[in-house]
Amino acid sequence: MASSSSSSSTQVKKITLKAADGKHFEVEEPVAMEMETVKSFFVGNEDAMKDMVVPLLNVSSEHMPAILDFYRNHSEFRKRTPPPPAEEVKAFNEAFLENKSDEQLMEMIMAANFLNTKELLNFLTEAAANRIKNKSVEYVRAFFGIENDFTPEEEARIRAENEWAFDGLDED
Amino acid sequence: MSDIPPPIIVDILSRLPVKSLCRFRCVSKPWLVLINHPRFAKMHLARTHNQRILFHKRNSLNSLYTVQLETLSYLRNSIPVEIKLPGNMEFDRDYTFGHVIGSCNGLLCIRDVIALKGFLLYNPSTKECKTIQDVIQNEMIGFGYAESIDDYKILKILWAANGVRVVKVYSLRKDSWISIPRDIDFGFYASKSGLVSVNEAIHFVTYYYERPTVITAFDLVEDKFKTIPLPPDFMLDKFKFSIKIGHLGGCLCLSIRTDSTSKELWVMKEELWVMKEYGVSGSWTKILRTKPDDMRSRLLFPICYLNNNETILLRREMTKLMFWDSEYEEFKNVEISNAQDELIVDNVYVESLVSPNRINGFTNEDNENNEELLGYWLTKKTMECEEKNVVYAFGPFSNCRLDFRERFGTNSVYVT
Repeated sequence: MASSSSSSSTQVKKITLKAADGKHFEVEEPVAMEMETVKSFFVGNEDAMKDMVVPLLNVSSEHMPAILDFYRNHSEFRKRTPPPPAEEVKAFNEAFLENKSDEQLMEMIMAANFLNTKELLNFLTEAAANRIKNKSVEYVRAFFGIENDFTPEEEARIRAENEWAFDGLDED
Repeated sequence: MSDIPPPIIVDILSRLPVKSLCRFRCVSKPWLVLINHPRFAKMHLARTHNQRILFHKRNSLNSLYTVQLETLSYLRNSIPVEIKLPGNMEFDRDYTFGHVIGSCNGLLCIRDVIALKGFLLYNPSTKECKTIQDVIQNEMIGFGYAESIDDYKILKILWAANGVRVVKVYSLRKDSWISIPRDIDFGFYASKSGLVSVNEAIHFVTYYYERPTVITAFDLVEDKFKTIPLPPDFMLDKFKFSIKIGHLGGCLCLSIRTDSTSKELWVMKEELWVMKEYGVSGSWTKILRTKPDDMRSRLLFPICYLNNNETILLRREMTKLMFWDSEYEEFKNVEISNAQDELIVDNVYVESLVSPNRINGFTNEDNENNEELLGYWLTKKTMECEEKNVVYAFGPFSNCRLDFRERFGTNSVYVT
């Protein structure tokens, strides 16, 4: 479904992005400008810096293709008239998250935060919330890398006060 | 992975159901502090809207029943969940109707509970409650929230055959009752049930002998009465059998039964009006009118809009629920699994973390180090409140609202 309309029309300007591990990605300008961090890099220097490589310190090359794919598809969804059916957007979003580990999801959240794109960040934080909502306390600690700083007595007391909230959890 | 910026954790947590958050109080001390903080409760409320319909059963004295709004359907049965009153409390058997006076931000205001001289503020989603001492008398009672002063109030009007005797108001923030001057004519009759809270005021319909019927409103910010007009020329055309006041989508609404004769046939019609702009008489708009011969549409009362804002959930004759599809102008019955007694539709409420005990901040029973632990969430000071496009600085002493751009400006991008 993803079209490559650029071939037929005039040459689309490309911007080079450098991932945290040094790998370069050539990206069409409108897609790159979806990222506020990249956009702000060029503000006031549109001409002088057009050939510069934009360093993305917090984004590993592992996640760059998926993230760019998200921007390409979602900007296409936004532009399309009539708007795409909800099922099509949902199918893309589900496929995007498929086979992503919790760790990969959190890394992408950090990347989206750094790239300062609200749409991707909202989508990923919503996905994280869905992953943990029916999980145990232990799972959530591991998910966020949080240390339990309660004494056993304190934890037992708070657990007892909220006992009803521990019903019907998914397996970790 | 503990290098995740706190605002991102706050963002993720604000998307979780209340039950998950109650469980995650056990994750760590900073999480407990965050989840218990009134400002996080507000942020969560601004983002998640899990609404539930509340019912009671005539013979069930210690339970209420709820169904998630999203699961309601005309195609299949929804199964109600039982919620017990806290601490083995029971409703007074002598009052079998209308124990739940109202709901605001997930808090229910409940009356007529045995062993409790007064009111119960109960959050069924977190199971937290607070009792408010008072002496119950024959009275009109309303419950409302005033956002600008962040306070929940109970309005109590003692009504006698010869008129209003005393008006009292309870403020949750002050945790006390005050008396209010009776500086308005209460007419000869006012509807004693179903006082409605919208727009920082509590409303009821008031009837006079030689003056038009009006809506009387008690302003929760000013603690004063005022009047809200009904639609223009409203009482002139036909005899209004009954006027019931409600709220729909944050607006006042009226459910009106009109009696008329047409071709020597007695005709009863029902209409639903919404006041689109609060206080503006000309903004009353008729949004629904039943066909005179449609037996399915009797004694209708609006509950809420569904998420698409085109379907209205209505109560019919106290015990039945229906959808009104405004596009196709048709009713559909909503099926509720109803094993024994009849379920009586009470109200709609939203799942929230709002605590009746923490409106002023932390309680003495909370951990002493709370203020210190808040520092963890203060490191990147801001909490986004998405729906309102404003940011609340997070912390016990900060109350500033930052422009949306400041949060998403280039300076606040996290670079490690």
